[in-house]
Amino acid sequence: MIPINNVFENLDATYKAFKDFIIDRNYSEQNNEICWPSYKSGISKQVYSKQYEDLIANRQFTFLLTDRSAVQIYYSYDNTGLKKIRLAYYPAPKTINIEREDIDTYYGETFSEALEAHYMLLHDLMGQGISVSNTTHVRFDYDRDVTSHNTNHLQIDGIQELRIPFKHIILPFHFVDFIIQNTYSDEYFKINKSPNIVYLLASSNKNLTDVDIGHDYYSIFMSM
Amino acid sequence: MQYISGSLGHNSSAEEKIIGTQINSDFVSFEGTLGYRMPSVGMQGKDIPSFIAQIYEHGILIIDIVSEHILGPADDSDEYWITETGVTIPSRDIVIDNFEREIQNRLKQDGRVYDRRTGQLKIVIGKVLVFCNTPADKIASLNLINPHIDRNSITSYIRSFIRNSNNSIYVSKQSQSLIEGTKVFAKARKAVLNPESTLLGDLIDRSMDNTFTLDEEQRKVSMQIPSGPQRIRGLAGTGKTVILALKAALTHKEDEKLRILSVFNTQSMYNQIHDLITKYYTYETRSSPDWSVLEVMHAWGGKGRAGFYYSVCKRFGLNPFAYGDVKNQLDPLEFIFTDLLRKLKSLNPDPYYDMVLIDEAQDFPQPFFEVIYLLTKNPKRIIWAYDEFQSLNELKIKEPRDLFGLDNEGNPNIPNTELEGTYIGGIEKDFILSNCYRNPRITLMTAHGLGLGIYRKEGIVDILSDNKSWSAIGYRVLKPNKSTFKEGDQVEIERPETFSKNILEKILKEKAADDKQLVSFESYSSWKEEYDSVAQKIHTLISTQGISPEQIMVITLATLGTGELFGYMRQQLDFLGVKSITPGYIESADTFQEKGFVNLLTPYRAKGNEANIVFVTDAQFAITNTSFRSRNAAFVSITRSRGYCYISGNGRRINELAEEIRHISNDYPRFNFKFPSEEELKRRRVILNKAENEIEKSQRQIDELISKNPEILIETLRQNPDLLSKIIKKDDSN
Repeated sequence: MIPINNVFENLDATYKAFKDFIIDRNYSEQNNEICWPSYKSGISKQVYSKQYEDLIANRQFTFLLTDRSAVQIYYSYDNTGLKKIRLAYYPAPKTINIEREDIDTYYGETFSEALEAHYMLLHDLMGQGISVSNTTHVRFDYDRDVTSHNTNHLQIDGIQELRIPFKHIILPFHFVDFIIQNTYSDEYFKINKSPNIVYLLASSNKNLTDVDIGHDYYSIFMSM
Repeated sequence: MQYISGSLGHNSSAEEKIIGTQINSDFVSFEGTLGYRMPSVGMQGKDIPSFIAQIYEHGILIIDIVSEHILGPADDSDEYWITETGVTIPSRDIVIDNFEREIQNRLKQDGRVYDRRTGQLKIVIGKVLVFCNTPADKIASLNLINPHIDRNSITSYIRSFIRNSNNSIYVSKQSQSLIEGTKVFAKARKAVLNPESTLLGDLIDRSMDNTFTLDEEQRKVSMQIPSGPQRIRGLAGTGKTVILALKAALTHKEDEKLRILSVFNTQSMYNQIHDLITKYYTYETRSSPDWSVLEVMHAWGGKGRAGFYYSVCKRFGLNPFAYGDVKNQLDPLEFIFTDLLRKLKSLNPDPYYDMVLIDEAQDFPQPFFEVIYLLTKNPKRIIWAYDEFQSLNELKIKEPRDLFGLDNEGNPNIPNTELEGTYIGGIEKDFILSNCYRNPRITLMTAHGLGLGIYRKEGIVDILSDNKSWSAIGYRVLKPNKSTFKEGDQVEIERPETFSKNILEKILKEKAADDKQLVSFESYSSWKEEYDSVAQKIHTLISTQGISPEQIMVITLATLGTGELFGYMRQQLDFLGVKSITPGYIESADTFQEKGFVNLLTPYRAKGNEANIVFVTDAQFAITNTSFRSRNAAFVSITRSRGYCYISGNGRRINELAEEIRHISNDYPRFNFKFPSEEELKRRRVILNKAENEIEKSQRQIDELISKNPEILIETLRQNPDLLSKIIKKDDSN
């Protein structure tokens, strides 16, 4: 199991490697935790744009990227070692191109009462000038002590039933590298061969920890 | 002596009015204040003696006028008196004793006027009862403790008091602020460890460490309840908001049944006004204001907060518009109030406000004022504070005739003449505040100079054309010697030092430092170079000069790609370990001056706020933007500064701007210019008054034409020799 100091060093090196993509950093190591100051646990059950706004307003992020997306990196340890991880990606909300009249139509067409209420709410929100956003957040969670589901998994927003199990416990670099690679691909491929990043990737890989997840869906998905 | 007439025109006896004028003339050659039932030191109504004179270097004299014919004590206790008409009133003898004790209690808070060892006040307090209609034998039956005189001996009594109170240490501005309760507005004191330090942070802390005192102008206008409409004119930072809050609190205290509305346009002012009223009212009455009769409201309303528009709709059973319904209108505020006005007129509502105080009146559309007029009872106590220079396209102040609408016969509801002359106590109905507290003089003059384009190469953008308008914004015209200027006049105007109450400026002068350093200018070849350098400078200020990040504002004049510029600045600052926020781009729009964060703002977001350190970046836009709006933005941005203002810009035309600023600095504290022709001004005003999007659209079309189809442009010009010759003529470059 990788010690907390090494995770912190990895995080620091990650910032330095990708600092051109980052406009605000916000992390420290304190009381066996690597996280942002004023850490609040729990995920707000809000519409995504509000989740994002709350996160910015309360500075619940480790990195703010130049495209305004936010990254959370949280590692927590206790006497027996690594206890919890939360690695989350919150893209800047993108509004969808939709008119209030369209919602009227959907409302008229739906057969579901629940969705009727949903459309009505959307209609009201748009009337108040709130734009509708389709985006959502995605995160890796690790919880050593959880028994009801897999300890290490990928989860998409509030979908509780479909946690995608993961074999490896990853490091900050893996997560940020993955995000930059996919969201800034042009710029990323200008720097990914730099000795700095090559070295970081190699040393991070060396420190991957495996967990027993029974069925390795990740590998299955990756090989499809 | 300054006469503060308070509610003298509102509720007073005939004797009090006459005697007031007489006492005022007795004191006329002395410095200090004479108040009618002012200051109130937390007492109310008849518990306050008629006149309180605070005479600098002499003492305080309390004079109570007993107008009634008193028959004698009402019972054995001497606590009540009975009048000829059979009414029982509290003993005035006791009233002035109680009042004196309250003044003493307040003065004891200040070690400079109170000796704690001996328990002695160093200020002499005198008190006297003046009987107007009570015969001597009946006065004798009252067993008075305090001196009493008849109305004919007031003058000689005052003279002897002044003679005998020569040794009173000092009744001064400090003691006055204690007595009148305005010390509650003093900015939080920060211990100043080293008064000799020249670190910027220490200088700024020292400038914050001062007792708030109303100046004479402010006191005069705030401590009075006018008996009709009143306009208060002044630049930003002249204390308009404090004055309106005081007037509201004071009127509420005077008569808690009066229905008062305090209304404004900027959401963020809600807390400020609430605080000001609460602080003063609570200190004075030891109770909380009753917000059900004293309504503090935003014109429209916001998240969960009552707004004026919504509350009126609700009251009259009308269906209000939501912001979403009207946000595509050219001016949503004008739209909703036009609609409301139309509906109200057909309902013929009973007015229900006794007094309405409007802050930021320059931001409101005309129908808003007419709605206020409809809902205010006679004598239409509508008081509106107007910023003379909030925007360039509103250089000409809107007169009451144009604001409050017409009556059934087509006559103005409030004709302009209603602002002529004075209310009782000699207080102008059209009141001008010329002292500026926020901005240092060089800062204000740089802002005015750039905003008006006084030294613009291609000619002045817009200008005030008469003597009175210049004095309304705190300047003195030296030349020409006439009231209205004409084309070709050589104009020379000065901003006198006395109108500048900025403390930092004074501190620098004490240290024999040049106050011009409060504004500086720097040019760069590229925006990156500029931003890197500004980030460095901010870092230096924080790390070596003791400035805290939240005291710093960075305002960009760039109108395009602002989000990216802020992103870059934030990143550069983050590299240096400085934290910043970008309200309206990343953080929500109402986030401001959070502890530990530098503020990156647009001029629009910065409006209404102030900071000790202001950086104005991309200042070249003030020159390059053809609509002149960026000059206005430059004005707004620079005037946010109550301390140091750093202006910078980049690109090809930055030298033109540098030249203008150099010119302003050279002529400081004066402006010298030749008055432009009426035609020139008219043409530029047309541009100034065009809707923003219209200008942008035209500009885009021209740009497109030049880049894609220059032939069309050339051909069009060939066929329009008039237009062509206008372009070629030098002063017509706009």
